[in-house]
Amino acid sequence: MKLKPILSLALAAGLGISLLSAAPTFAAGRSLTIKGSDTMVLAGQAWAEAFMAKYHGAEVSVQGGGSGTGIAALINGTCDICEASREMSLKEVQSCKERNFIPVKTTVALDGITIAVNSSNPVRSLTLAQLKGIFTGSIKNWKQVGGEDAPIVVLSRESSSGTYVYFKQNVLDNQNYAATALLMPSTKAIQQEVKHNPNAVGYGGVAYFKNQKGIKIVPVSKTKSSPAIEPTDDNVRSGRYPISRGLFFYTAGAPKGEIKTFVNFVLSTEGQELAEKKGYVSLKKM
Amino acid sequence: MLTVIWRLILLLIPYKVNHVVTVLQSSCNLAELDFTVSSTVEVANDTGCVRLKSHGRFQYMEGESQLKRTVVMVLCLVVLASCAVVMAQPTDVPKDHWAYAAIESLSAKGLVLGYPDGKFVGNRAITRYEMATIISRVLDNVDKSIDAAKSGMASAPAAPAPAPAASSTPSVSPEDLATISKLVDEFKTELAVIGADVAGFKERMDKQDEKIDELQNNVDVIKSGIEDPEGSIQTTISDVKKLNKVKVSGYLQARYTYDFNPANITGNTTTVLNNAATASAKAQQGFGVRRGRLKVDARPTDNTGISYQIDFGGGQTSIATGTPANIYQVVTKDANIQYYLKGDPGIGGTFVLGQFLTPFGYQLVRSSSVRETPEFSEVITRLFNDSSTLDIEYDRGLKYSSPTEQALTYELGVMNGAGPNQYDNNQARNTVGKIRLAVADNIDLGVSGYWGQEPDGAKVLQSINRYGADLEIYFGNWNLKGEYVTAQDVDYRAAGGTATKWGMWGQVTRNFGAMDQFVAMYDSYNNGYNYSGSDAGPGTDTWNVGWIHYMDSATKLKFFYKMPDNNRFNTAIFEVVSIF
Repeated sequence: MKLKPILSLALAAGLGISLLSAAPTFAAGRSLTIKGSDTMVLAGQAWAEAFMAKYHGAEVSVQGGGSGTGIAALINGTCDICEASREMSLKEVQSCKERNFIPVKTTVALDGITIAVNSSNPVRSLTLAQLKGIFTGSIKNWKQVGGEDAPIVVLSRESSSGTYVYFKQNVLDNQNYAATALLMPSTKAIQQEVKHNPNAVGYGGVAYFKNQKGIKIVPVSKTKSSPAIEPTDDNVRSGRYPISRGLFFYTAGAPKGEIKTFVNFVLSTEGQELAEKKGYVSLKKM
Repeated sequence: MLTVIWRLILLLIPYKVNHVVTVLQSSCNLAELDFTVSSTVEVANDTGCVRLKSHGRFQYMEGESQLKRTVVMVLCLVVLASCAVVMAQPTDVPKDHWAYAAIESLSAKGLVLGYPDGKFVGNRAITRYEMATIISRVLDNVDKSIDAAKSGMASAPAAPAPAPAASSTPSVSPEDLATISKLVDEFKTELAVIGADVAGFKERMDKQDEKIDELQNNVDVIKSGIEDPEGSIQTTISDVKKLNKVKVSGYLQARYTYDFNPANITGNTTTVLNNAATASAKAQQGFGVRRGRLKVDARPTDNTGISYQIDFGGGQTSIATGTPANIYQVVTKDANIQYYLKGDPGIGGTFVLGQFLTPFGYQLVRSSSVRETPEFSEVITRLFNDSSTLDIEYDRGLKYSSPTEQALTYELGVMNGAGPNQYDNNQARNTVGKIRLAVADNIDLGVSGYWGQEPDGAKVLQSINRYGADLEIYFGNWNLKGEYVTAQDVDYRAAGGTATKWGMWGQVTRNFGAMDQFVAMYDSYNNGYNYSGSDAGPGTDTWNVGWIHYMDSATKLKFFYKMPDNNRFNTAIFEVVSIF
C-alpha cells in the first residue's frame, strides 16, 4: 500500500526530528572543567581542542596537578571530569558519598608506564624485581643491574600523582620509595632530567618518552627468564607489557548532558585516534 | 581604507597569545560587482615562524547596498584569514613516512615551509640556496632560544628549583653552535646572496658562546647550593619532611538556634535560659558554638600513630541541670595510640588503644562535620550519648580494625562502658563489634552489637545490650540511609528492672548540582521504661528537614527545621560549618 504524500512527508519529518534530537548536543556558553592526571593532560588538551573545534561555543579547560588533585576537585564539586591514571581508593569513594554521589569510572585510553634512562646508559632491560630494588633503594649502583659503575639517581613523581600511586602499588608492592628518590613535580620534569643526567632513571606515561632524543626506553620483563617487553601499543593493549594500566575519566554519577557528549567524543574513533597521535594507546586497534 | 581594514582584521585573528602577526603584503581591489583579496602573512612564536598566503575573490549581486557589501566583504575577509591559518603543514608527506615526524617538527618551528602549493616534494634534491635559507632561519631561532634562557635565569637567579632541574642547560649547546658555525662557513656565499649577515652572525656566535658559559656557571652555583647537605635548602627539606608527620585538622560549627512557642511547655517562660524545666523540654535560643574540634594526628613511624582531639563548644544552655550558661568546656574526645600492622590502614589491620569512638553502627561513628543533620537521631542520642543514662559515644578501651580498602570491613573492641564523663564503677568490660559490607558500588549494609554490664540505680550490675542494622543506598542524585537499633537497658534510676528500648531513623538526601542538598530525616524512638507505678515513658517521633549549601570545599551553610511530637517545640537551626 502506497502512503499518501502527506503521510510520507510526516514520516520523513518525524524521522528527521528523531535524528536531530538523537544528535549530540552542547549548550552554547556551557563550559567543562577537567582536572587531574598529569599523565593524561596531553591527551586531555588534544581532546579539548578538537572538541571545541567541533562544537563551536563549547569551552573546555584542562588542568593537570595529578590524579589526587583531580579526585579532590571532583569530590569538592570544582570539576566536571576528573582525569585519573589510577583507580579511586575506597576512602575517596567514601568522601564522594559524603557529597552524596557515587563516582563513575570510564576507561578512555591505555598506557604503559615506561622506564626511561639516558640514551648513554648501556642497561638493556630490567626485571620487575630489579625495578623494585632500584626504586626502593636496595639497588643503588647501575653495575648491580648490568650497567656501569655509577650511582643510580632515582626520579619519582610526587604523592598526588596517580602514576606514583600505581607504581608503588604494582611495582614496589606498597613499599616506600627510596629516601634518596627525587620527587619531581611532573612527568615532563622527569623527562628533562633523564635527558641530561646519564645516571638517572624515571618512570611515566609512554607519551612523554617515545621518540625523545637523549632518552632510552628500557624493556621490562616479569622475571629473569621471561622475555623483556617494550611498551608498544600492541603489548600494552594485550597486557603483555608488565606495567600496563587503564587511564580513566571519573564523573559524579553517570555522565550526562554536555559531559556525556564530551565522553562520547573521546571514545569515538576521532577521539581515540587523537590519543594515539599523542602517544597513548587507544582502547581498540585503529 | 579597505587595505587598512584588511590589515587590522589580520592582526585581530585569535591566535595564541605568544603569536605575532606581521602583515607582509596585502591588497584589496573593490570593483563594481566583485573584489579580490590577497595577502602574505607571517606568524611568529617562540619556536619559529610560518608564512601563510591567502587569496579570495568575491562577487556581489546587483542591487545590494554599499553598506551590505562592506559588511559582507569584512566577514568574508575574516573567514578567509581564519582559513589561511590552518594551512601550515606540508600536504604530500604520508603520516607513516619515516621522515614524517622530523618534517612535522621542522614545519611547526617554521624552519621548513614547503612550496607555495603546500607541498614538500620530498623526492626532489635540495639546492644550496634552499639550504642557506633554512640555515638563516636556524640562526634566528638560536638567538631567540639563548636570549630566552638568559632572561629566564636573570628573573629568578636564586629560585631553588627542584634539585635535578638545576642540571638542565639551555637547549643550544656549544657543540650545536660549532656545528652551525661550520654550516655557515660552507654556505657563506649563498647566505650572502640571500642577504644573510654572515659576518654579523660570527660576531653573534661569539657573544652567544659567552652567554652560554655564563648560564652554565649560574646553573652550577644553584646546583651546588641545592645539593649541599648542610645548606639551607636541604635543611628546609628535612624540616618539611618532619612536619609532614604531624597533621592538624578540625572543624567548627557556629549556630543560631530558635525554639518556637516555648511558653507552651509547662514551667517555661520566655526567659528560657533561666528556667529549670525538665531536661527534655529545655528551650534554647541564641547564638553559640556548638562544637569546635581540634585534632592532631602524628605518625612518628610508618607503623605508629597518635591522635588527640579536643572539643570546645556546647555554648548553649546546659541541658542536664538547666543552669543558665553559655559555657564553653574543653573536653577530650580522641586520645589514642594506633599501631598499623602493615604501615597502611588500607591494606593492613590496626590496633587502637586509648579513648576513641565506640565502633557501633553508622551514625555514631561519623564526624559531626560530615553528618547532614545538626544532631544525632533520638535513638543514637538516648542509647549512646545521654549523660543521664549511658554516655559512651567516646569510650576507653582497645579495638582492632580490619583493613579498610576492601568490601568487607569489621571492628571489634573491648571497652570500659563508662565513657569519658562518668566514673567507671564496675569491673565488667563491655564488648562491641560491627561488620560492614559493600554489597554493590552503591549499597552498603552493616550490623553491630554491644554487650556488657552496667550498674542500675542501686549499683547492682545488670546485663545490657544493643543491636543495630544500618543501610546506605545511592541512586542518581538521591541517597537513602537508615539505621535500626534495639536495646536491653537497665533502669538507671531504681533498683532492678530492665527496659527494652528501640528506635530507627531514615534519611533521604537529594543533590541539586554539586553544591546543594535537600535533606529529610524521620526518626522514631521508644523509651521502654516499665517500673512499677510508672508509665512507659514518652517516645518521640521527629521530622527534620533542611538544606545544605556548600560555599566551597571547606565551608557549608545548613538550615534545618526540627518538628518533634509529644508536646515538644519546633526548632529552627541555622549553622555554618567550616573544616580544615
